[in-house]
Amino acid sequence: MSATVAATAATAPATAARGSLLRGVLATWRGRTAGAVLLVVVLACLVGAFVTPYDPLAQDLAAARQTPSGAHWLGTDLLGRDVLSRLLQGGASSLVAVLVAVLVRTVVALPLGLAAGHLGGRVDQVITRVVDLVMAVPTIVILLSVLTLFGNDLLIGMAVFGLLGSAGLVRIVRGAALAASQELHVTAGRLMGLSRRQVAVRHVLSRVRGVVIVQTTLFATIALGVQTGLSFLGLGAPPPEPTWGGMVGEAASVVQSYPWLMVPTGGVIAITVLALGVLGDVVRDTTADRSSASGGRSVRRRGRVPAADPGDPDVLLAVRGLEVAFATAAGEVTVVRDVDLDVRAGETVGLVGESGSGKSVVAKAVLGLLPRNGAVVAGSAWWRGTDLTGLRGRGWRGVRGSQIALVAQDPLRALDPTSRIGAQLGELVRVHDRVGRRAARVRVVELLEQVQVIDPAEVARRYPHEISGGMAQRVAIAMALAGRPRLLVADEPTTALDVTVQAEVLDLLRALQAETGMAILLVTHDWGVVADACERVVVLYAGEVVERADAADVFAGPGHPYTRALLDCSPDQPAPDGTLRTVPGTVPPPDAWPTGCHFAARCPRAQDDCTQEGIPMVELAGSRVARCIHPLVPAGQPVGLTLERSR
Amino acid sequence: MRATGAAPLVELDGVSVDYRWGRRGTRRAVDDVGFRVEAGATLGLVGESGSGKSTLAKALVGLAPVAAGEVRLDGVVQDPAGRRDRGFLRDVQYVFQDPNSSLNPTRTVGWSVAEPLLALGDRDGRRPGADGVRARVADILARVGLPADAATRYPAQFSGGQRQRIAIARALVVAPRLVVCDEVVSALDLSVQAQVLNLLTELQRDLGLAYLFISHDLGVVEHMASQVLVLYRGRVMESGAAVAVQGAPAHPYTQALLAAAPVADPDRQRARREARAARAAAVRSAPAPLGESCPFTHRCLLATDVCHEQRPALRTSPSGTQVTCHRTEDAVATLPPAVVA
Ligand SMILES: Nc1ncnc2c1ncn2[C@@H]1O[C@H](COP(=O)(O)OP(=O)(O)OP(=O)(O)O)[C@@H](O)[C@H]1O
Ligand code: SF4
Ligand code: SF4
Ligand SMILES: [Mg+2]
Repeated sequence: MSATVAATAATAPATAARGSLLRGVLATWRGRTAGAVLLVVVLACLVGAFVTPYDPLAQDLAAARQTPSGAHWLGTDLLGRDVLSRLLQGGASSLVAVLVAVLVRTVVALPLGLAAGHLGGRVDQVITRVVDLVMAVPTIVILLSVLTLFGNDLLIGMAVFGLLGSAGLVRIVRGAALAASQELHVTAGRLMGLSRRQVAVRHVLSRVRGVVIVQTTLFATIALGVQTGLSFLGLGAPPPEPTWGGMVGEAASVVQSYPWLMVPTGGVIAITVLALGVLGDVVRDTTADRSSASGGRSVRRRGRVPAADPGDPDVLLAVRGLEVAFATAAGEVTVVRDVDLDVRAGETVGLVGESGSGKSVVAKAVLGLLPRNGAVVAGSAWWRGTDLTGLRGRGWRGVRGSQIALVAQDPLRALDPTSRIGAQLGELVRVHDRVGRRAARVRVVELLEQVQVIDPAEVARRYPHEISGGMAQRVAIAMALAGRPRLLVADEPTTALDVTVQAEVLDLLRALQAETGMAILLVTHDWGVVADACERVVVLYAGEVVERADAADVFAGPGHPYTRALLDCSPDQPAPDGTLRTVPGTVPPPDAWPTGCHFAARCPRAQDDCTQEGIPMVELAGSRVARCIHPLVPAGQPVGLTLERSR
Repeated sequence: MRATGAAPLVELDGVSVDYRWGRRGTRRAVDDVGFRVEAGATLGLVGESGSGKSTLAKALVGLAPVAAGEVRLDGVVQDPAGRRDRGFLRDVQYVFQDPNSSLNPTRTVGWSVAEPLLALGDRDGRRPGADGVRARVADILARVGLPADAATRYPAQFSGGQRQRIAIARALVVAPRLVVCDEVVSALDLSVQAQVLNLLTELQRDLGLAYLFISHDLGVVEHMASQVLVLYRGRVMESGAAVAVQGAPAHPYTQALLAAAPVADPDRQRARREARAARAAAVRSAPAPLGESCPFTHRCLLATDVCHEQRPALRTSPSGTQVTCHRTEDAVATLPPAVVA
């Protein structure tokens, strides 16, 4: 599987192929080991049901209580019976019992859970009621009464156990099916004229498969435990018949005088349970998304080289030579490198680039908010004499929030859904201003007025879900303003909003800037937003700054071919033949960056020397600085009217 | 069954759609909206989020029941409850906004693209054999510009733009006559968006497809559509030729929408900002109207008493578009030039 992933890495930035679940599981050594152990146990017991070295019931009192020997590999028990033979035959009945429980549970729960989650409505209500009822029933009591009723028939007992256990699985399948049903490919299935049952089987079932398997391995271990426990208590198969539980019981009674007996009997159960558990884990990891599976790794920050402080008093934030790496399953990957950018007091700088170019990573690195598997591995972010990339934990106090604040793309995620807006804002105000409740309340209203909320007192009383997206973004901005920051880092603050609301939020940011003199680092992929809000622009492509310039110069004619290409993609500037200009090819992912210019493979001006190591940033006419050795704007020449287009 | 040759490919007539609201109540998501799409043409559907664009498209394909009005394909009235026969589902296909969730991640691309063909059969109602299906899938994947081995790979191995191409291939495999494109490029990057839009234009030219093109981005709609319908709070505000609606908007809402759309030109943008500021200073704080009034009164500079009391009927504006506004003449007369510059 790793081969396919590597081969397609250039086009596959997202998750690895789900492919066959089995193949995925077997690709890990944990999966292979657990699978092999289970296979050996099951095969041995299957064979053992028919052939065993000795008759499992044959007593030989002369040979009682023997430790392992050539004749009896696992020794003998109290009555001189061969332990291995008894384990093998007992295992067969134990495993069949577990199988019965698991089968009954799955067969009952799967269709019910699918129906409840996928069909919803009345069906869902009825099934959920019944499940609630069953879950309230005391399992052990029912189980014991059933066993009494059916003369200790273990199989019936386990079937009932599976039935009772199905309630929990119905709930889980229902949840997974409900989530899967909201995905568009399920809707697409309905538009193909598939019946709801067909859609459930073809599209929903495949999505709940992983969680069902995980749950089943878990349940199998429980069933094995219950089966063992029942035999231990003397329920289930009567004494001379070997069962794993019965054997553990026997071993427990003589554990003082003959401890060995506990080793093979307890051991086989422990190994089986362990293997099942590991298998469940692996299946879960295989079906989970990469985002949650990358946990635990971290980047080694050996010998990080900080960059010198340029020491320009006009510059609030000076990023120099910033390099960020992430630890991923494929190893350490540099996603952003050699980033220089300045933000001066009172100005708005646009950080522009396509998805995955590294805009958010730069913004997060500046705020010390990189995810746990990422780290700054070179360079610095100077904030008025302090290197922000060197700050840890408490060092951020007095900086994050009060000097530099963040407004995130998704405003609702920045707000706590369980608490009123006034309370959330008030808490921040009390942290920043060290004031009491009453003073905080005044400031909350003031902040909401500052972001032009019409009825601040009313909005303060609401919960986040009770306000519109535009209002939520205003509140998120108010939260960022609570510490009176000198720099606001806004990561796509309007991308999730309608154009009319976006315009309002941009106007608000402009007004706030005029009022407070704060600087704004505005992350965006929208040239219209740049034209509206920014004085200066920094363009990122595949982890590198490719151009820095005044916004006016960029729109008049950029120096870098990529900036030109990106400007030309706008639907309001089609080529003469009416088609839209495009950039051929795709952005190279971080693990496939070429040597030399990252844009070379797609660049209409590329020449042989573009693939040489280390393309420098070159100063060009006007304010432009571009990472290009054949720029569109010659160095030093004034911007004329005859600027070349990229094609 | 097919009615007279004069009938448009798809026609919606006075369609209203209700959503369940709370325990027993309903809410009107689409209110008395009509449009027609001729074969080979593109109708753009514009409006902010919640304006009812997707609901209207869902009413067309039968995913949302129609409370009033008629949906017609080739003049044949469709079931208001949403049942659609195979012929309809073959003729009208749907491409969704989010290419990540519109493809089943556990199935190969080939499986997903073949599925409609297997489920709906061919135009003659027959199901092509396994070889036929494979060939058709390979054809269509090549047609949308995907590599030959794409069929055996999984969606996760493709970028967002490529996934959207796969979704388009899945829609085209049954040779539809109309494709509903519901915000198909809004999740994509600018350069990828341009590639996908070009692909759609090319397919239209080569296959004679009609599109119902839904987008909140006026620039994209202007590029794609010959006719435009502007929705606000479930009602038609303005409709007509794209050049007219965008070049001489005659409804205050269309004007506001245009003024808000950012353009990649600092000077024009400054002028728009000033036009916007004038509006914003004048309208603030009024709650959205309920009942029989113009739904835009609370945000409209021109609103007068009659706007609050009477729902404006559809009529022809000075610029030749169809509008629902009592004061369209004044709206045209007072339009700041920056908005359409
Ligand atoms: N936690 C992470 N683990 C591994 N790689 C990551 C992680 N977060 C981001 N990356 C990678 O870093 C690169 C830059 O990502 P970033 O989020 O900064 O892009 P962006 O420009 O903000 O894109 P978008 O416009 O989609 O928000 C991408 O290749 C991304 O896959
Ligand atoms: S360095 Fe060469 S390949 Fe890179 S942008 Fe400039 S001309 Fe194009
Ligand atoms: S009807 Fe009145 S309120 Fe509505 S858009 Fe026209 S002028 Fe404005
Ligand atoms: Mg981002």
